[in-house]
Amino acid sequence: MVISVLLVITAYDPVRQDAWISALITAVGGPLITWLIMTLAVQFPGETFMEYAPRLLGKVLGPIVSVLLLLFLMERGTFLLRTFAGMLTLSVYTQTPIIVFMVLTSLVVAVGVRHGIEVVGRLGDIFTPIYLVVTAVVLAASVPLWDTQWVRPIMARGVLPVIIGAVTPTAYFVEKLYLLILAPVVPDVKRARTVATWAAFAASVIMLLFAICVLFTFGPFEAPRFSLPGYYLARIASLGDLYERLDIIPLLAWSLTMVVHLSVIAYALTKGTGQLLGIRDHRSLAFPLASIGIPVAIMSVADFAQFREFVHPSIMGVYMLGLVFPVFLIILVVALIRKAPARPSARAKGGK
Amino acid sequence: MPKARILTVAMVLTLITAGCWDRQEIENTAFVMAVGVDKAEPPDRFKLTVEIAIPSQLSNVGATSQDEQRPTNWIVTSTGETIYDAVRNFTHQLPRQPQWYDLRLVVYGEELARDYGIHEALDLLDRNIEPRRQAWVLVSKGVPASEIMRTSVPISLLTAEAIDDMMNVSAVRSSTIVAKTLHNVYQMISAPGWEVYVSPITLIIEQDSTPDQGRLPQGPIPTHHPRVGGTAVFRGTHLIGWLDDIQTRGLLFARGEITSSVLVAPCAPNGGDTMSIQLISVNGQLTPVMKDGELTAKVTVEALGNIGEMYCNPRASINDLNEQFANVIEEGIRMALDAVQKDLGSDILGLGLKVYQQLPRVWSQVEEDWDAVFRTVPFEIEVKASLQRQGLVTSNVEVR
Repeated sequence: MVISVLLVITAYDPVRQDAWISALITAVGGPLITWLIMTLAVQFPGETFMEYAPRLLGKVLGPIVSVLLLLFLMERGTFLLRTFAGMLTLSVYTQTPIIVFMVLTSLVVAVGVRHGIEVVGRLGDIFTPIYLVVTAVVLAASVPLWDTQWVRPIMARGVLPVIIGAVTPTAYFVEKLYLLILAPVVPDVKRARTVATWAAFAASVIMLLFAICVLFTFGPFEAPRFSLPGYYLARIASLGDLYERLDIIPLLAWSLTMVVHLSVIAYALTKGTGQLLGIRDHRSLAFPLASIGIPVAIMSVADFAQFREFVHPSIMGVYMLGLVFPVFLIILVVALIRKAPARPSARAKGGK
Repeated sequence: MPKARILTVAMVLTLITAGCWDRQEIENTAFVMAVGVDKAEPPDRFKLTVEIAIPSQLSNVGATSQDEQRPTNWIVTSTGETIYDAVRNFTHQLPRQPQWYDLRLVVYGEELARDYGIHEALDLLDRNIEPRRQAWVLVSKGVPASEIMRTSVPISLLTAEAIDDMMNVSAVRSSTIVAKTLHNVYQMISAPGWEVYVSPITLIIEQDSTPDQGRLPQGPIPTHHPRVGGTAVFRGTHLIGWLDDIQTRGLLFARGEITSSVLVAPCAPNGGDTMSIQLISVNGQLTPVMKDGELTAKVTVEALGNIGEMYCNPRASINDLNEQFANVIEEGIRMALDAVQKDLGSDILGLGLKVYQQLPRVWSQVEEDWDAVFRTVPFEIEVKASLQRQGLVTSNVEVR
């Protein structure tokens, strides 16, 4: 979440005090993207993308697109790993080499993936309340520092900067393509679609709240300067003498949820790779993939300055919304037109 | 097989529990409580003076033995080409690693603020993870910042803590002090149409410096102590002048930053007897308006007060007193505006920012030469003031 605030506040400077409107747009666009992704999964209940891709797209194109999806997940996962490690090295562990965090995190994630998606899900169950409480405290603690005048003038430069400002945070939701591999783990995909869409909406709302708090606390001229606006908010916020200079606690809570997030992507990547290669027990891939992930993460982004360039709408937006998402949309349209060719062994397997 | 597993876990554990790169042992740290930044003799540019707390002495307050009464703080000075350079140069004098987590106070020397500006001396405080944005920013007036660091306040163990408390208290109880933190300073610098203003800090020199026999044998009694109050006015990042206490009050009225204060007002328009008014609530607002195609600034103040003391003879009607109450506020604002607009020409009122926020179209026209425009903007002042409570007596004691 520390990262998501960055996306809406820092990714595109000219949006300035209208960042919250961009966040509002994201609250529509993000859930929409999630819903579309899950709609494809709904067409093939009980199957992962790797399984139905050859039937849907042919024996040649299917595996190629599957590989592209895995590469995309690899890129997303390593990017997240890099950002997570970057967050720790920028904020608290300024002298520790970044690779230490990458290795440790990958180890944790790989162990989680080996134990299966249930373990990852349970972790989410445990960490999410912690995350929500800590985030609520941080946001509430910033209220005394607010100056609501910072929000003015509203859309003085017209609508365009606001829309461009929404591109990067919205594009981030394309990452949810991992749901195409995860969807079969739940019995009722249609319900999962509803839940996932609402979850995406909730995530955007938290981002909106963050954007508003950062904006009101620091103002539109200061906020885009920060490497980590969310962390900066946690640093300055205080509740009387009770809660002061405790930024390490939110950092810890956010770290936990980022590890869960990374585990989900890593699980999808591992399972997808296993299915594509025809390996029966994909768990054995967890450690090898983690060891590939670390060097890829190191190479992905050189430093935070480059990170900022990468999340600029002209790069992140084009990459995610202009390149990856259209490919998905084409596949979705094909799936809807071909009316989901029935799985040959659907009845035999019970078609869960 | 289980053995191999246990061995692997043990090996990994030794890797990760052996400690990390960023560990800082408490016995190796020196807590920096306050920093003073001055110009240095060439070739160095910056001179830093820090107040370092001595924790063992801070917990030793009740000590009675002469030997145990050692100082609670230590003042060290270092110079360097940049701030960070100077910070690192402390290594040559400090047996421990300085830690900036508890920094309460940043004092810029007057000369530095005038000649260099404070821009260069701000970045490290923002970029580094140790200092917090809640530290107070002050400018030393008449003396270098290092002198401020060297003073002490007898009832406090640390100068930094004393000034920290002073700022906390007087920002609420007095109207003639501006209490600004690093957070505020960054905002004022980065916002368009809003210049920086912080509190000056001076030294009060006591004439009689011979220790009184009645005092505790706590070592030499300090001959000077710090005083905060007034306003240091910047343009850009350079110090350009000062506002006195009355002008500061006017500034704070116009910006609506007053919480409580005591005002002295005459009982009648022609002066003479006076009353003291305790302010209870003040609502000040600065609004830019377009009037006949001309940018005008409107200051509206609503003030409520209690009568604190009164020597009005003959007794005046409450309406007259209210009028005097309002007049005093308006006069203060006028004086502040004259100084800020005419003499100094620095928009510390944040009028430009208000124009940007409320009249963005107008701002795009005047943005380029706002400094010049600001000097010519006419101000309209409207003060509504009323007295609420008179206290336990209806009149002061009569002399017969």
